[in-house]
Amino acid sequence: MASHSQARKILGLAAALAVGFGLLAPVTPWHAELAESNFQANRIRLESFLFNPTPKTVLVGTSLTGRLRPSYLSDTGLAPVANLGLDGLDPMFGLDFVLSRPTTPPLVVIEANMLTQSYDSNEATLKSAVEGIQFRLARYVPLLRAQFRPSSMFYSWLKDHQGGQAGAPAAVPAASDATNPAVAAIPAVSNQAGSDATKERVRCQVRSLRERGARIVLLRMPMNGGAEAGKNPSFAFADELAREFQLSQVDLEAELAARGLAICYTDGLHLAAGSARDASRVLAEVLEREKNATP
Amino acid sequence: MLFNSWTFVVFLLAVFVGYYFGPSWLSRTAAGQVGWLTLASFVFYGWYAPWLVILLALSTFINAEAARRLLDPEATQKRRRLVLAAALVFNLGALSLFKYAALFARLLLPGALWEKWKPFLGHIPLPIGISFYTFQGISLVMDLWRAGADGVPGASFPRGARETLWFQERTWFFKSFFPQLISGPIVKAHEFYHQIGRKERRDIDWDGAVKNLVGGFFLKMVVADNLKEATAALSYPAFTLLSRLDLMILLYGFSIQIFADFCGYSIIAVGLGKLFGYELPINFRYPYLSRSITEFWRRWHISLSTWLRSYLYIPLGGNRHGNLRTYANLFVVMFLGGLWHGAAWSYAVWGMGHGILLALERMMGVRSGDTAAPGQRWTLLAVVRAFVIFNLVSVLWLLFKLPDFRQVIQYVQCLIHNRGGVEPQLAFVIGLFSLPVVLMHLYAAGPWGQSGRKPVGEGAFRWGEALVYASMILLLLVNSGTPGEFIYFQF
Repeated sequence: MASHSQARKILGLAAALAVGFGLLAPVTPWHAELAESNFQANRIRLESFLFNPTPKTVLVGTSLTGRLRPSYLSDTGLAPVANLGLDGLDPMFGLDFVLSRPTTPPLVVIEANMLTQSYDSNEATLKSAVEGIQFRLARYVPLLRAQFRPSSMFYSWLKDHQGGQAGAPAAVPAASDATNPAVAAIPAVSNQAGSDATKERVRCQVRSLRERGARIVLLRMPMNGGAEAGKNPSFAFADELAREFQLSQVDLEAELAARGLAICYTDGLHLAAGSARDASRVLAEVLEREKNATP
Repeated sequence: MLFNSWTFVVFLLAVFVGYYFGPSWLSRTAAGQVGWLTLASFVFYGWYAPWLVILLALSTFINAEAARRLLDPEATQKRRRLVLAAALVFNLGALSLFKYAALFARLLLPGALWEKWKPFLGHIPLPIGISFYTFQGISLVMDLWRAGADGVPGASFPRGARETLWFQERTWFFKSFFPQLISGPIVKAHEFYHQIGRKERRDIDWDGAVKNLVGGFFLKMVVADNLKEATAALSYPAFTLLSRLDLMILLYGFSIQIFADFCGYSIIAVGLGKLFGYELPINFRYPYLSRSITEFWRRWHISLSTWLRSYLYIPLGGNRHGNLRTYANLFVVMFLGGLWHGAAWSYAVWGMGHGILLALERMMGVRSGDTAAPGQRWTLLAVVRAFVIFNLVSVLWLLFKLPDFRQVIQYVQCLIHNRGGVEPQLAFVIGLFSLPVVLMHLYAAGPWGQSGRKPVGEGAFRWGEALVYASMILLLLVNSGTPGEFIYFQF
């Protein structure tokens, strides 16, 4: 008769470890807000939005907006906040998820920088993951959620301790990014005019949100001059939308500059942690002010 | 069907239950069990593209019939030779048609004719796993041709309808057994045929099965799948923006990823085989410990390298006809071995690269010294050699990742000219998820791995081992990467 004592031991210990981890993980303060890969970072944001009660504010956009972490806004009037600034995806993808919920967040902030382009390099992978069993199970079994992945928790911890402060060493001021090829590539991408179908899709989504009573704000994220305001068709389209639906717009780059805050980028395009924190606070301040000004 | 899918979990459960707990005509007889597994294997194979089973069935039937005729004690040598030739023509013909038609037509046909045939030849679908099951078919007929029934223990000439049916059933099972059907290990007839028979639940090697399944899924889903997203940057033009150090890190990361992906699949296959009472060959033995390319091929994809040696290198004359002929044979075998991986010249160049290095080692009299052998010591020179071999192998993997030569050249140029510095996120991902592979190699290279001695007492060792595997299960649950296909599926 073949041996199976070791197999029993392995499975028994695995069960004990899984139960222990499953019980401890949700009650400890450690969870990942960042992840080591785009896919996992997107999972964290989506799960956080879909598996928790409807937030008061949701930020929807690309990885540019993804830098405005909910924890930066936790003590502002916007909280609780969910961030659907998804890496490698366009804002339309995130808006579909916002609209898929039975209750809509009262405030929806939509990134305007890449509004006219269908940017979906990670869409198929993320869609199939969302439709998969593991994602559905994660709603009921917290240990399966991406925020409890040990590697992502470790990565988040490292990032918080390495780049968590304003002006952290890893961040590069905007001026010195001019030679970075990543920056040079951006205008070509973001200056695409976008198809009529893409624009119509965004219009439909905005209309649906308005019909559900959401307050919508269009947000211009700083992107190191990667898409100059005058040349970026996304901004022109955002202006159109703002006129059509009477939406307000926030230009974070201008707001930060007005307050004399320097903007630092990690890769010449995405905000460094310190600047992202500043930007989050400024955004909260502007939106609160605007809300109070509205009769 | 993918091993790392929920569909497969349900499928496996159903097959297992039917195999051991089904009605007595199914689970209590060899014919019932073998038939059940064969049926399950065809379902597994045709899950996404049912038409594929037609080709597999045809290939299996023809090889089984050729095998039966080769076993016929009354067949003359001339007749046997004809049968062998027909079987080889069929096997290689099918492989050539489905895999290489476009490649060779483009090379051999005049431009106008190629343009005319391109719409047809350029769109012949590649049946998944054809390279693997074709090689198994060849091993069956070759083993029987060489030594008759002695060449394949367990096989004998079937007399009468009942025996013929049983013989066909066993051959269909040998060719299609689902754990190894799509990506190996390539099982040779002489390794497998004698195992075919009735299996009992009490014979299951649970310890081996669980350890192989856990280890295999861990390598695939935690190591390879997590590395995959990082190594995606090793594509044109993304890599041109990276620093020199990042390019090196990516190359090492891809080396680890391809090992974890393929070794993971092979280990899962071994574990699945054990669940049904079958032993499949080990396909990897810590290949990145190799101190020579010769040794690398004794540790990497062992079932392919032994196949190439038995059915190609030795029939070509091996090393029996002088040095020059040996070098030429090595070169030809590795060239064809490269092409086996894919119908593109980059794979052929990859194979030629290995062939040239093998020939060079022969010329220089490099010995393959087995680092895992008891008593072998790791000297500083041995470490340097292993590092050099790892780098050579890794550089050649570039041809798998960047099939366009111009991109490979550009990679090398970037390696020389790009800026310095390192992207911390990339280093983090590749460093962290390569760690298990590095550790397993280090353990194997260390004194305990080499001697088989335990670092602690037997009881403590078993608890420690159980804890390691249990942790792997936990990480499978909570830390798997982006789900995806196995790299070797494309071959």
